[in-house]
Amino acid sequence: MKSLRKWYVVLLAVSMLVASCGDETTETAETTSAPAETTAAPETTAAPETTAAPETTAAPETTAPADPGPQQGGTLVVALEATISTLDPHRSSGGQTHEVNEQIFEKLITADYTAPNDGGPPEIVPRLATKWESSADGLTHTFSLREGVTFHDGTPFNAEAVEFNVRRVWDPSFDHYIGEGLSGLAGTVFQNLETVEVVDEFTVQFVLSKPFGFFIEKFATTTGLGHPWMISPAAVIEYGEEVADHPVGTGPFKFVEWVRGQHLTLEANRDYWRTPHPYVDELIFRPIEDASGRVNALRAGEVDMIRVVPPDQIPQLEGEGFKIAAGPTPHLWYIEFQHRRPPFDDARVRQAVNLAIDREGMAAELLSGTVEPAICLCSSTSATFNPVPDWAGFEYDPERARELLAEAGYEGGFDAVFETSTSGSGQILPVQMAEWIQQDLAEIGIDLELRTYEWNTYVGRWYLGMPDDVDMNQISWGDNSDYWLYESSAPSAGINSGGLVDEEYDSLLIAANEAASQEEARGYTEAAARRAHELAFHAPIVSDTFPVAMAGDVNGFIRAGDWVVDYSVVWLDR
Amino acid sequence: MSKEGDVLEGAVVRDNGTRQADPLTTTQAGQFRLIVRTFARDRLALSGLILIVVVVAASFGADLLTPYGPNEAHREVGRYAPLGTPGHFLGTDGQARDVFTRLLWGGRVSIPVAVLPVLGASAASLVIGLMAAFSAGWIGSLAMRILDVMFAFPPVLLAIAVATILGPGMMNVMLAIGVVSIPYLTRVVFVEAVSVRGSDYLRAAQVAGTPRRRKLLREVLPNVISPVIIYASTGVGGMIVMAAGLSFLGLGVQPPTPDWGIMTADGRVVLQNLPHIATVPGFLIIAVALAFNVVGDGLRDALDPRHRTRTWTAG
Amino acid sequence: MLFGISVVGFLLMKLVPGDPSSFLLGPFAGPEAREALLRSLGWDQPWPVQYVKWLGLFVQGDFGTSVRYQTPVSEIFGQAVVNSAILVALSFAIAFVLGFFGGILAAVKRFSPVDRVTTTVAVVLASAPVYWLGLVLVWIFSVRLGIFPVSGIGTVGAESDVVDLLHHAALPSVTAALIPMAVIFRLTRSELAHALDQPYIQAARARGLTEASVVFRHGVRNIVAPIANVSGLQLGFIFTATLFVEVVFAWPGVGFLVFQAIAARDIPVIQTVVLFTGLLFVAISLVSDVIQGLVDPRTMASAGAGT
Repeated sequence: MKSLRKWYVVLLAVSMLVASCGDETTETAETTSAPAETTAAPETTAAPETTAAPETTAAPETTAPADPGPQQGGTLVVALEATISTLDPHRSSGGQTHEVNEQIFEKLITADYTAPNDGGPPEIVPRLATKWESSADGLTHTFSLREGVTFHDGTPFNAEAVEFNVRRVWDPSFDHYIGEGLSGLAGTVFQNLETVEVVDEFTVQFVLSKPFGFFIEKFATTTGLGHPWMISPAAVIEYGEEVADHPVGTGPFKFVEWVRGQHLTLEANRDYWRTPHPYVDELIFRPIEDASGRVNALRAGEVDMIRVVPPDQIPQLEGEGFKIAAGPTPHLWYIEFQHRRPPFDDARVRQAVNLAIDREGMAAELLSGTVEPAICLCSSTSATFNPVPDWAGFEYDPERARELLAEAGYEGGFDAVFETSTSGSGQILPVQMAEWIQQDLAEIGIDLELRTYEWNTYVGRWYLGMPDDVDMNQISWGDNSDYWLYESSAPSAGINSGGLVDEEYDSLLIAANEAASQEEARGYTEAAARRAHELAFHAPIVSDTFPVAMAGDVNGFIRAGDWVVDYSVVWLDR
Repeated sequence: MSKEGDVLEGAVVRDNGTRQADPLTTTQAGQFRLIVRTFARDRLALSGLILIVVVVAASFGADLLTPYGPNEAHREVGRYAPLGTPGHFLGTDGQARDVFTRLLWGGRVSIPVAVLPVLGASAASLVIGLMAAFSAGWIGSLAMRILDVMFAFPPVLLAIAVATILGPGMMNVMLAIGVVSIPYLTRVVFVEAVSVRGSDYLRAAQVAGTPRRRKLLREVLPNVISPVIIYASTGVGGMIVMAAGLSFLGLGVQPPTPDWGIMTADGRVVLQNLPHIATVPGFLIIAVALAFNVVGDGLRDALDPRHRTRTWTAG
Repeated sequence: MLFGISVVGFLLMKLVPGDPSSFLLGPFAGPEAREALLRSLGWDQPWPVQYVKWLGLFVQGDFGTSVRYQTPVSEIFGQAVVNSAILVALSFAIAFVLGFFGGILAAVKRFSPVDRVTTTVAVVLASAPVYWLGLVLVWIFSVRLGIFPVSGIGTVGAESDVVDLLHHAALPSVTAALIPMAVIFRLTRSELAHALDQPYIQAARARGLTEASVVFRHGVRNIVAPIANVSGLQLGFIFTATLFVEVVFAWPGVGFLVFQAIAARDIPVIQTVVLFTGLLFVAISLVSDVIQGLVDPRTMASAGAGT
C-alpha cells in the first residue's frame, strides 16, 4: 500500500512536470511536483487497489482551476520504426515489439519506467510482485505477489500463473513450453535456475543451483525472447500457438485489434490496479519503416508520436512546435579492435585511436546532440557508471595520439580496415559515423578503408569474430545490467569479436557472474571496466538518447533510462 | 562497336533490298556520314549527347574544376552549409564535405555503374534472344527457360542476392545490375525476333537462299535493335538508382566514395530545410538519364532505316 | 519452371550470408541460444534436406511458419497479396490508360507542341528515381497541401471503405505508375508513328477513310502485339516499383513483407513470395504470348495480303 502511494505521487508529479514544461531542467521538476503531491495523496489513500476507476479518474479534474493536470481520454497514435513481430510476449523480438508488449503485459519486478533518468540505472521496483527477498548465499529468491490483480480475461493472477509463465519459457518438459529455439534469452536469466516453486497463492520462490550475481537485475530488465512477462495461462491453453492474436495480460492496456503490418489497437484497461492510469482511452501503434515517412506522418497529423527520429530533423521539428523527448538509454556504440595481431595488439595504438576520435564533435555536430559521448564500455544508465567512475574517459587529443603512435613505432601512421553495417537496430547512422571516424583517424595518419555490410550479414560476421584482414569493427547494444560486460567481451565466454585475451579481465567478469549478490558483483565489474579503460580494449564512442518526437499536445512522456516506455502515464491535452 | 557495324551493314542491305538505293548509302563511309547527319539533325538528341559529354568531362576533370578532395571535410565551414556559402557554392553535406565536389566525383561512379552493365546486358541479350528465336536446338530454349526463372524474381531481390553473394564493390554491383537486366532485354529481343521470323522479307530472304548467319545479322538484327535501344536507354536512370539502392544496403560502392544515388538518399532527411542536397543529385540523375533516353531515340532514328526514311519524308 | 524458381530462390537465400538468429536474438545472444534457435528452424541440416522438407509441406499447402512473425506464412501472405494487388492493379491501370492513349495522341499529332510537351514529360518521368518521386509527391500533396494521406492503407480507427482506400492508394499507385506509363507512352508513340507511315495506311487514307478510323482500325490494331508484350513487362516493373513504394508509403503489401523477410532471413516468407511472383510472371508471359499470337500485326498483315 505504501509503495503504491509513493508510486502514484511520483507518477503524478512527473506527468505534471512534463505537462508544464516539456523538456526543461530538473529544477522545475521539484517546484511543480509539490502541489501535485498534496492533491494526489488523499485520493490514492482513499482508493483501494481493487476498486473501480471512477473515483480516481475524477482526481485530476478536481485540480482543474489551478492546473488542469493530466487529462483523461483521447486516442494516442504512435508510429513505430518497424512492424510488430508478435504479441506473444515470450516470442517478442525487436525493440518496437518489446515496447508494445510492455503495455499489455507486466513483470513481477521491473525497472521503473515512470521516473525520469539523470544517469545511473533506473531503480528496480515491484510491479506484479510487492516485494522480493534474496537469501545471503544468492540461491533463493522469494517474491510476494500483488493480490487482487486479474488478467484482462478476468482470470486471477497468482503464484500458479507465475509458475506457468516461467515454465513456458524455461522448462522443456512443460506441456506449454515454447520450444528450445524460442526460449532464447531465458537461457541468460534462468541460467542457474533449478526450480520455481509455488509457496502459497501469492508467494513464489526461485531456487538456483549456484549463484548468478545478476539474477534480480536481469529478471527485472530483460526484454525479448523467452522473458517471462505474465500472460494469462487460460489464454495460452485456449489459443495455443495462436495466442499472439489473443494476447491477455495484466497491463494498463487491453488488446482490441491487430492487423499485421497495418495497426495495433489497444484500449485502456479501466480495471487496472495502478490507478488512475492509463490516461488515454485508446493507444494505436502503426509501423512506418521509412524515417522520412514517419516524420511526414507526424507533420501531417496522422500520428501523434514517432520513434527513432532522424537526428538532422530534430532542430527543424522543434522549430515547428513538436516536442522531443530523449534521455540516456542502456545503449553503447563502440569499436572493437583486432587484438590478435599488430598494430592493435599494442595498447598505445588503441589508446591513440581513442584519443583521436572527436566524440563531442560527433555527438554535437553529426548527431545533433541525440547521443552522449561514451566514457567507458557502458552507458550512463549502466550500473558501472553509477556512481560516475573516477576516470574521465578519453578526451579528444590528436596531439597526444600522434605521440602514442610514434612511441609504438608508427610515426607515419598505417592503413587499416574498418567494417561497419549500413543500418540496423541501434546503429544510429553507422556509415556517417564511420566516415567521421575515418576523417578523425586520418588526422593522426591512420588511413581507414571502410567496408559496409547489410545488417544481418554484418551481425553474422561480427558474431563469428573479426576476420583476420580486418582491424576494427563496431557494434551497438547495451544493458543496464553489468552482465553485459561478460556477454559482450569476456575473453573466455563472451562474443569478444576482436579476440581480446586478458586473464585478469576475464577472471573479474567471471567472478562477478558467480557473485552471491548484486553488490558483490558490482565490485568486480567496476574493476573490470577500469581495466578495459586503462588498456583501451575497445573504443567506446557514443550512447544513444533515443529521441522521440511528438505533437505539442502530447504530455507526460518519460524516457526513463531505458528503451521501453510506459504509455499509461502519457496524456493528451485536447 | 562491332555490333553497331553489323547494324549499319544490315541497314544498307535492307535499304538496297526493299527500296530504291540512295546514292549516299552505297558505301560504308557514306553510310556513316548519313547516320551522323541524321543524328545531328535531331537537335534534341544532339543536346542530350552534348550534356552527356559535358557531364562525363566534368566528372573526369574534377581535379581541374574544384580545389577540394571528394572526401575532405570542411569542419571550419560546418555541416550543411547553405547554398551560396563562399567557397562552397552548393554548400556542404552532412559530413561538411563540398557538395559540388562530390557531385563531380560522383559522376565517375554513377555513370559507368549504370552504362557499362546496360551495354553488356544489351549485347548478351541480343545474342541469347536471337539464338533462342532462331536455333531449333535445345540450347536456345534452355537459355530462355533459365531466363524465365530469373525473370520471375523481382530485379531488386535478384540484384541484392547477386551482390550479397559476390560481396561489396563497384565491379560486383555492375555485374549484379548487368545480370538483372539480361532477362528483360532478352525477352524484348526474343519477342521481336520471333515476330520478324514470320515476316515477308525474311521469307523472301529465305527463298533467295541467304545464309543463316547473314540473314540473322542483316535482316533480323536491325529490326530487333530498335526496341533494345529504347529499353536499354530508358534503363540507364533506373540503373543509377538501383546501384544507389545497393550501395545503400552496403552492397555497392563503399563509403566515403560519392555516388549520386547515395547523395540523393542521404539528402532525404534534410529535404525539408535543405532541399538542394537531395534534389541536385536527383536532378542530375534525371538529366543524365534523360540525355541517354533522347540519345537512344536519336540513335535509333539514325540507325533504323524505317525511321530514317520517315524522318526524311516528314522533314 | 516453378521448380526451377523455387530451387533458385532457396539457393540464393542460402548463399546470402546471415541467419535469423541475429534478428530474433540480437547480437549478444550466446552461442547456445543461437544454435538452439537454428536447430528449431532446421537450419542445421544440409540445404537439400531443408529444401525437400520445405517443398513437401509446400505442395500440401503448408507454406511454413514465418520466422519473424512466428505465425503461419499463409496468414500474413494472403492479406499482403490482396493489398499489393490493389496497388499494382491501380498503378497498371493508370500507366496503361495514360501511357497508351497519350502515346496515340502524341503519334497522331507528331511534332506538334502537344507531342513535344507530352514526350518531354514522359521522358523526364521515366528518368526519375521511384523513391525520389514518392517523396516529392508526399511532400507536395500530403505535407504541404494536405490532400492525400502520407502513408498507410486506411484511416486508423475508422471503418475502412473504398473511398478511404482509394484516397490512401492515390499517391503510391501514381508513384509506381509514372515510370511504366512513360515507357508505354514512348513505345506506343514510336510504334504507332512507324505504323502510320506504312504503305497500307496511306492506302487506307487514299480510300477516303476518316483519320480516326485509319488510326484506330489500321494503326493501333497493328501495334497491339508489341504494346501487349511491353505492358506485360511493365506489369513486372510495377511489381518491383511497388517494393520501394510500399516501404515509402508504409503500404502493407508483399514488397513490404519481402524487405522485412530479407532482413530477418525469413526463408518461408521469401520462398512463398518468390514462388507466387514466379507464378504471376509465368502467367503474364503466357497471356502476353497468347495476345501476341492472336493479334500479331505482321502475321495478320500477311494474312490480309493473302485474301
